[in-house]
Amino acid sequence: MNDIKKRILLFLICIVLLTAPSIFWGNLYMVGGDDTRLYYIFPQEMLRNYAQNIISNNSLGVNGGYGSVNFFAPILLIVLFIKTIVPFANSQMVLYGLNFAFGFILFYKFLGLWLRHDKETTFVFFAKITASLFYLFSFFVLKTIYSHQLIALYIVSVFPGVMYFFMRSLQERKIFLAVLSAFMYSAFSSTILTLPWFGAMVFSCIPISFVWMRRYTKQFFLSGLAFILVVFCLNIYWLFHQIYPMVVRSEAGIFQYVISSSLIFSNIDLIEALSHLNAPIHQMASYIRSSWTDRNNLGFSQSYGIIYIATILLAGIFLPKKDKKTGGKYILSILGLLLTFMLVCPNFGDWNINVFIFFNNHIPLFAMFRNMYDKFAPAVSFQFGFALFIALVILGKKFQSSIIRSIVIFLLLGVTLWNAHTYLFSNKSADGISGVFNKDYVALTRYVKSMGEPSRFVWLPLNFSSYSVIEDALNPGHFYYGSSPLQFLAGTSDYIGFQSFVTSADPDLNFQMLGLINEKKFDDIGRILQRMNAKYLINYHYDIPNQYFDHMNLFGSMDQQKDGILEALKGEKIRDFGSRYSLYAINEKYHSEKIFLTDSFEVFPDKFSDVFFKKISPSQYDISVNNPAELIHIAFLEPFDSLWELHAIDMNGAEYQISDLKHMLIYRFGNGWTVLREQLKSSHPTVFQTDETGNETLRLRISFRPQKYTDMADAFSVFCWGMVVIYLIGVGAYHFFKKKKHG
Amino acid sequence: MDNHKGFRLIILLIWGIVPFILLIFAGVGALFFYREVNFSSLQYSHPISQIQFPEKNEVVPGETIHGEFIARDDNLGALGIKVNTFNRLNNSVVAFQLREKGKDDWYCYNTYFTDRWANGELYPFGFPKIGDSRGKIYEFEILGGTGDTGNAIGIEKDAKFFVSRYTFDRQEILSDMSHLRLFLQKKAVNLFSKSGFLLFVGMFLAPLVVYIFILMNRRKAEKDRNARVLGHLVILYDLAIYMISPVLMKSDVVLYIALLILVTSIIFKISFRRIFSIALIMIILCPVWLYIQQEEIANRSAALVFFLMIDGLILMVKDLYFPKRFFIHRKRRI
Repeated sequence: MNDIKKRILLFLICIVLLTAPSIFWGNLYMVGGDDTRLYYIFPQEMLRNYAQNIISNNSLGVNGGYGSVNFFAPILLIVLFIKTIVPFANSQMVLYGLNFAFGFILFYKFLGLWLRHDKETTFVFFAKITASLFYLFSFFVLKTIYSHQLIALYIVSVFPGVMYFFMRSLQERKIFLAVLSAFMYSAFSSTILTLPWFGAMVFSCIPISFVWMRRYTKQFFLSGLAFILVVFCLNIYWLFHQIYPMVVRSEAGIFQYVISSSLIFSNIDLIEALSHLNAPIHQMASYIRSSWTDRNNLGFSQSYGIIYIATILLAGIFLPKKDKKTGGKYILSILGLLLTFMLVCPNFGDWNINVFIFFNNHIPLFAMFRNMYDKFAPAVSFQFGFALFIALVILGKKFQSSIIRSIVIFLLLGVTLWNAHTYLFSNKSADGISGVFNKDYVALTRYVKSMGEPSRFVWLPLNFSSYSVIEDALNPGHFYYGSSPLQFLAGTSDYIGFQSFVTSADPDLNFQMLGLINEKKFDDIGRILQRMNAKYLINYHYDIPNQYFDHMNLFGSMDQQKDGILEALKGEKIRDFGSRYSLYAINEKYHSEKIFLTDSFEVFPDKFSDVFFKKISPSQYDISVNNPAELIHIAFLEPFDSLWELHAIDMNGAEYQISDLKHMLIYRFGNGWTVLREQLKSSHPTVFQTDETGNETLRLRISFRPQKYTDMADAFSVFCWGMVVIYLIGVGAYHFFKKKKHG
Repeated sequence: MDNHKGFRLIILLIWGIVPFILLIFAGVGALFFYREVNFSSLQYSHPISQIQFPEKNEVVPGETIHGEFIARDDNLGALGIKVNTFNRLNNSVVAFQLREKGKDDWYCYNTYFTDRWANGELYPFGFPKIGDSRGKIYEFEILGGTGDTGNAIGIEKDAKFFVSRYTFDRQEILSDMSHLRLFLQKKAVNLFSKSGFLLFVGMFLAPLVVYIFILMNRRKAEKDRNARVLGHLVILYDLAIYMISPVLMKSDVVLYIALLILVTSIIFKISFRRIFSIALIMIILCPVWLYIQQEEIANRSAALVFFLMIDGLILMVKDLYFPKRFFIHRKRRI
């Protein structure tokens, strides 16, 4: 087979893979769950109302706290780009198709680098195709990342790409390829969201890295340094918010949880339990059991996957005794495979569990691999594909008969395509949605958005899963079921279920609320809503499909609210939105404002009118206090964070530090400051203004300190992205023309 | 005189002390990796025919499994019965009760959630120790609490036996030499009356067998062929016992087997190809084991394949990169 035919065949495979999701799964969006997957439908809204926020308004239906979610930005921009250039297409299916196509071709290219000095025979060409398709459609990915469809599934195309360009940078001694590798990782992987899967894949490549380090020592360190540096610079826009807490309050940001001793300790039980999820035969038969409800033991009909490991073992038998070059590659590939086998489920003996627990206890961040059957699954697929390819190359050298070769490829391809068929032919989007929510919900979000309300909205009845159920406009009976999208659709935060109320100051408030509801203590619920600044109630009253309702109503939590909670908490009705939703103000008894003055932080005031404030952004509020008293107690009902600051400002907006200012946790939720009027007036008289009638106004500003540096970090990142793109285009063009010139 | 004494010491070491250490190793190794019961407990088997099964063998509400047995010793503390989960997750609850035959009241009544039970597991139904149980007839029942057809466990009918366990107090055993002697006597009889245990001990005798073979064949030219045959026999014996023996052993025993195979392969110059061939045969046999519903054997085979691959890789590294450096070449030794 000549090169042109090979390229045509590869192109056709890519086209089939690109279009497969659209052809097999239709045009509905498969959305829902914790991360909503609504970024495929509302990328612009998420960018505008959600991804940029680092405090307040940065969580979906729950109390967030300090944390950047702008690592979503690259994927949102990519979806936005796709929606712009092909507005009629389903962006999710397009991206899934691209993931398949690029996953295939980049893994294919990666395999090619291992035989770059050898002439590529037709058998080797088909071996690469077989191994690449195996990598793409092995059960290790089908039953894990393709199944839960988190953003991590793009690791399938990103990781081989990263490895391909990095390996080329070593082989060709070109730093720009390492930069391209880092660029690819930063642009297409959503970095932190895929970190556990990416980390597992990197961990599984320790044998490969060791060989690279030995063979290309200097270039390995240079390329590695370039990779790390570029990744750091490109991602500083969200990395900053992981580093900053470490500097100012010795916290490790989002990594705090992963390195916490409580998680590491609690992991031990989980690791021991999950080691029983799969038996050794599962790995050997290239199958992964991803749920306790799956068949307990591997059945005979599921065992056909041993064909892959049998092929690899067969290659070990026929490996020429003096062929060090191929033998080395075989050893390397098997080492990676065995390493991932023992990590994807530590079931090869008690020693295996002990090793995993040792890693969990002693390797920083290893605790993130606690659901190892899921996290290491793509790594197994990668190493298995690599080992399969090397094995086929060995067998190809041993068996010159084209009939034997054809049978081997035919069998392996057949089994691989059979696996793919079971996945592709399942009707994944049977419950999908069109991307347009029902008109009642749309009207509700529009109205809420128009209110511009800084306080929060509460959905009643509260549900156990803390998820929203929203019916599709074009497909009756099809629902979105996942985290509440109100934040990015209306720009307003909400409480949807019991999980919503958890804060660092009140970590078990979710269960307290559940108890209060069971005891029908709705007044206590109202008091909690008051201190959490819930000002409006959204009552949803439509039939919820059983499969969702059972989950939402766990412990009968929704049934308990049928009688009384709305009546107890509601105030004036604002309006109805069709037959599905009604919006109420909260009962006067439980009224609160985002910012108010109080005589004491123990009780709520009777009136909230002596302070005026304006929400400039989720991290900044400007306040005017009329005729301030000698002691000014300012309450700010956002989850307490020591990085919230209160400053005095003058007419020109210049900020002044307030001396002897005490910042404290109030109402077991919010932020409180006490300002001494006279002391402030003597130090900064310009922050007080007096009008003709003698009324005195004090101007203050509440701001979140890290926001000041966010713009700088963002600007630096954008600059780096620009420079890297220019560098890549420039150097890429130079190499391209140089290559062309030299034929 | 000194030379003569030294020579005698070497002979004593080679033919006496080392074999003795290897023999002790076999005993300690077998006891260490044997997992059936704790050292201070005894276990006796009873034929499965002493259990009456419901028609469908699913313990659903209303269905009862009834059985009885004669206690073989004092300190009866548990019954072990092989359960059948039908390879599915069962969210059912079963109850277990036991009493001396002829008595009106049940001695114990416990309930169990079955969702995490493993198929084919010899599930231990424990109860407060009965001090004077020896020779008495006990009856027990397993009752369906919750669950329904398709969501309930059963008892493995093909198991051939169920077991009763007797737990002795360690401090009591160690308090008096006569108690200790009596217990050790019982323990030895209990262990060595089981053919499975004897075969299991054989696994740990392999180093002794290899050692004696090497001693006896030091000067014979044809030793290579014999050596390979013996090497293969040792490997196959250990593999067979590990895979097929019904003995409950600690999972880490596979580490010992892997190490034994590696050392045996190096000593008897067995090629990595042979090791990969054995692994290939074992993996090809897995679907057969699964077809005849011997999942445990399939899993043990798979675990062995993992270690055989590691052994194969080590031998491959030796053969490819250090063919002569670390090991004496065969021809020169002949």
